[in-house]
Order: sequence, then structure tokens, then C-alpha cells
Amino acid sequence: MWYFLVLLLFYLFLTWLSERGFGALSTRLSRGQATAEGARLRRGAAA
Amino acid sequence: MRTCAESFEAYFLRPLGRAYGENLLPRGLDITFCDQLFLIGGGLMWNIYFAVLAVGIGFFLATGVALMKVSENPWLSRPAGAFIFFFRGSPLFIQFFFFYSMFVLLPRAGIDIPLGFTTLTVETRALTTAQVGGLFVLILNTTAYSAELFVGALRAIPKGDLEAADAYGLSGFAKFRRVTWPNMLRLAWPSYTNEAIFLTHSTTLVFLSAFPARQQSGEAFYYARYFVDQTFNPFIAYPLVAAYFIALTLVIIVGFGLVNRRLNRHLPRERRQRIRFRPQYIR
Repeated sequence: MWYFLVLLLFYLFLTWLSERGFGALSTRLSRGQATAEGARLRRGAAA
Repeated sequence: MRTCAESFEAYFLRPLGRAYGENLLPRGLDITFCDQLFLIGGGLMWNIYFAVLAVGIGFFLATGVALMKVSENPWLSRPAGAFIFFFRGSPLFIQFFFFYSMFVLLPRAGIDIPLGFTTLTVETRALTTAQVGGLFVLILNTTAYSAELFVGALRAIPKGDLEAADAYGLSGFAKFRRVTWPNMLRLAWPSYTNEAIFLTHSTTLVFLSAFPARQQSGEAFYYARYFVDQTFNPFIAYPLVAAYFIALTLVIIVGFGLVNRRLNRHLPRERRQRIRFRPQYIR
């Protein structure tokens, strides 16, 4: 039980780390693209 | 020794329960090849049951969760993000373990929710069985994974299509129904095929860590492990499961491929997306 709980937290932490990395990467790559996300970023920059 | 026809009769429907075949599973030296073939093949029906229901229900939930996550309103996007984070961030194995531990703690008689004018009783007994509780976990898991695929697809919808929808005066639900949703499905479909395949393979985990197989009625991999325990020979049961699952995967690829063709039918030939097999080995 406690072993599983620690394992769960460890995996969640790992996911959190990689989600941040990939989120930054995908934002970086969406910039200026002719997609919905690219358009959203452009609106955010203009406002 | 049983003949093949006898083992088919005795064991093919045995995964449904004791009433549908022999009381006991074959043991030790009594196990024939046909026993393994048919019992594992029969167990596959539970894999199909879990996979079809989980993917079918998860698809609609995932669309909703994906829309919540891309919404500008933090009251919608934050919970959706947390849900996706939790279910993608923990192994399915551990999810089964914790959900089963939780379901066991629920009172068996059901939970009474007083609503003033009437009392609502929520049935909780079924949740400790794999057929309901395990399915519940699988649905939540596939919802999270598919929702993230759909989020990515929603973000990748060509801007031109959305502008064209605006130019035609489409808005709100009509725009979603006619432009956003078909585009989302088209972009997400190859990855969604992978999700369906991988969820089918994950159904082998249902009985592994927590949920009990009542009356020894389990899915294909449960029986494969049983045979390996009995015969000490993993080189028959495991390849059999593998062959069954390859066959199942091919069926999924063909079915989803047909849908993919339909979703892409309006595009010029060279822009169509083909489905490729990209397995995730760790989940």
C-alpha cells in the first residue's frame, strides 16, 4: 500500500516534469503556425 | 485425454462462469493443447468486452474533457487538466490497485443520498467486480489519454478552416458540429487508433493487481498465467495469447482504418494521413 503510494507520487512527479517540458516545446513550435493554437498565441501577443 | 471437441465444449464458454462449462479448470498433466487454445480464446471475450465498452464510452467523455481543457475558462480547464494529469501520470496497474482498495471500502448495501423529497440509493456492490469496477477504471484511463490526443488535435485545427466557418456565418454548436469536431477527429484519428489498440492490450491488467476473478472467470491473459503456473511451460500459453492479441489488433486497425478513410475523404490524396503502428510499451 505505502509502496504503491510512493510509486504513484514518483510517477506523478515524473509526469509533471515531462508535461512542463513538452508543454513549453509545443508552445514554442506552435508559434506562428496557421493552426488554432498558433492563432490563439498570436491573439495573446496582440492583447 | 479429452478430444479437441470435448475441450471446446468444456472450456470455450467457461470464462462466463462455472455454469457455462466444467466446474474446475484443467490441472497439471491433464492439460492439453486444445484446452489452452479454447480457454484462452474464450477468455478473449472479456478483453473484447472491456475494450469495446471502455473505448466506446471513453470516446464521448474524452471529447467533453478535451473541450473543457482547451476552454479559456479556468474553472473548466483546470479540473480537466488535473484529471488528465492524474490518469496519464500514474501506471494503470496502480490505478487498478487504488480504485479496488477504494471500492472495497464502500458500504456493500449502497450509499443513501437524501434529497429532501426522496432518497437516492447508489448501488456500490457491483463496483468490486472486475466487470464493473475494472471497466470503470479503464473508462477513466482511456478518457484521459484520448482527451489529451483530442486537445492536441483541437490545437492543430487549420486556422483557415475556422476562418472559413466564421465567414459562412457558422458559430457555436453548428461550427463545432460541422468544422471543429470533424477536423479534430481527422487529426487525432491515427493516434486514437493507437490508443484503442493499447487499451485493448491493457485489458490484460484488470485481474493482475487487484480485481478478483470470481469463479475463475477471467480474461485471456489470466488463463495464460494459470496455464503457465500449472504446466511450468510458458512457451505455449504466452504465444497463444500473443497470437490472439495480434489478430484482435489487426481487426482494430482495419476497422479504424475504414473510419480514417471516411474522415479524410474530402482531402486531396497526398494530404491524407495514413495510420502507422506506434506502440507505447510502458503505461
